[in-house]
Amino acid sequence: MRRTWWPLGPASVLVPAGAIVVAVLAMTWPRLDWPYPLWVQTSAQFHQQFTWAGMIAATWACWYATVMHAKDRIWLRPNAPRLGAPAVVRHLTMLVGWFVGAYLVALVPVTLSTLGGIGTPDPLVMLSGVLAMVAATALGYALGAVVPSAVVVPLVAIGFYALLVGGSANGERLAVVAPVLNLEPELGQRESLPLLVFRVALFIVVAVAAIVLAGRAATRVQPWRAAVDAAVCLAVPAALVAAALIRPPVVFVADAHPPASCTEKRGIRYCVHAENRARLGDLVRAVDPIIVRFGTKPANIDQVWDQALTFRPIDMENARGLEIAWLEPDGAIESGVATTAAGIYACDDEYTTRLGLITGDIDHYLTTGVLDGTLAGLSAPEMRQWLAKHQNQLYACTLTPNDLPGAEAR
Amino acid sequence: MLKIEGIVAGYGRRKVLRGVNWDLRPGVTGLLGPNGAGKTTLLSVLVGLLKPKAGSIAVGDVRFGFVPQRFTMAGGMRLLDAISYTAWINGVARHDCDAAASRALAAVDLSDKADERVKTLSGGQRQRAGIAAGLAHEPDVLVLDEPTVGLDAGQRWRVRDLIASIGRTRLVIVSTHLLEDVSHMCDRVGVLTGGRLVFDGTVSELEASDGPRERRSPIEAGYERLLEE
Repeated sequence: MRRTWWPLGPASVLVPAGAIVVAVLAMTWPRLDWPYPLWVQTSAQFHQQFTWAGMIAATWACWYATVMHAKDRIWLRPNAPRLGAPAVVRHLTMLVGWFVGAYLVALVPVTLSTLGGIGTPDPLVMLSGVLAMVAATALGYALGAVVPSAVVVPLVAIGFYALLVGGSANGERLAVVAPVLNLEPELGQRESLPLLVFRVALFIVVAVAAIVLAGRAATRVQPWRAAVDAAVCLAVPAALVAAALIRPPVVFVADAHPPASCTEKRGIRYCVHAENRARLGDLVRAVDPIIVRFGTKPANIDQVWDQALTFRPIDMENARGLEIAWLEPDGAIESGVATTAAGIYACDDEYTTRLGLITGDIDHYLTTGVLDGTLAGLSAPEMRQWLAKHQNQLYACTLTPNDLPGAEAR
Repeated sequence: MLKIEGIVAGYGRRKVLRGVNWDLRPGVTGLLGPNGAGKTTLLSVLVGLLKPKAGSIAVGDVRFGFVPQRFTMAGGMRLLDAISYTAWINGVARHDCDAAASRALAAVDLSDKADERVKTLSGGQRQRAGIAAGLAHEPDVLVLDEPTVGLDAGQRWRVRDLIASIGRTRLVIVSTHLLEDVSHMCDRVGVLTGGRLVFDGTVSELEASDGPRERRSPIEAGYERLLEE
């Protein structure tokens, strides 16, 4: 066992490996009991969990390099046959083995929990995440070898985190170079092949450049040569990054004609992605009570579609009265059916306010069955009767105070 | 064993060594000289840290071990690991490194410290650990730069005895400015001043010079006469 962390002690690899496992498990734990896990999302976890894991790997590799390559270490003799690349390769083999090993071990539970889930694993997506970890380890190590001082270690940690957070905040523009994507793919989407090929190539190039740079730095060339080496080694990855930022590849792609599974109830057509076939009944059961509370089919709702069917532009001819439902992997189903049926977005705020926020109270009733606020005192049949009589005015924003429920009685 | 011919070396345009010729034989050879004479520069050329501007060193397949004046090991490392890693860097096969390190630690009488952290060693132990690091890959030539600097009297004696014993089996070149070091552990001595080797002979030959013996040791007298010349 000792040879797996030699020459430094076990803490030099067990502490960061443990931290990586804890960070990844903490972030993926809530996914383990999701009833409808998606392989497209689980595959993406191989790069999405990079935020903490990559920072830990880069920082610790940097520290390791500063320890092993500190300027006056007795083993840094220029005539030593294993100084430079052989030592760097040995250190990085060990560090990458531990860090990437810990990362993969920590991803085992979420991967196992997805067995039998929706879709299929994407090996290229997973590979891109693993290579990002390799590149981060090599890059952190190279920075420590170039500047073998403890001062550089926290700077690497802060720099990596800022880069990842900044990359994430910049949305799709930096997706091509930042291992962590701003958004996770959904069912019906996948990471584009150009994006994946580019990222895989970039992370390999960064790792190789970092190894070469660390090897050169470890032989203690003069400072100006070190600067030239750094510029030469980083030129290729920098050129790749620049090219990608000028013409970034598309991040996600979706099928042009995603397969759908549909059914109809009370005049409303429900459709889910074919991979979500098992959840079609759940969708109907989630939406139908709203329709029941409304009393009749709302005039502005004809169909409710699974979001997974909507990643390509929809033919407007087919999109009449369309509502989108989000079928979350954790079992939740959300839609805007009640909101749309209540006419909330049909009219402007001034109109809604003038009518005493009635649309909000209708939305609340349709969602929960509870009549309160401006609708307090009404019975459910009276509410259904009012909706049937006034829904066209509701959606055309032509209701007057005299039309409000209870006004006639008043 | 090691032949140095016409070495010229320096830093930038400044020449520190101005044509050094030296024929080195097995045993402990001291390299004496005042501050700035070029001792460290000559050692740097010998072990490949500095490229000479002119001259040559006939080394053949000679392997060097080098212990610089100032060196560190990672404080948290076990001593055995630090020495075995140095052996590995110097070309020893990984599976032989621990045995090589153990032998080197035994040679410097630090076997009982093998499992201790480097940071717990005393100054003298640390210096001996450095020599063990220089020895672990069993070099033909061991080069030591000021190995007794900063040690107390007792530690200096131990290190001198150790160097003398190592010199029985290989060439050891010791740079020092302490004449006592030379008289106690060296078989031969070279005196470097002004970038040139002005003396190459035995300690007895260096001692054989005139001087007010009532206040100087024979070696001090011989050494000072050389510098004056």
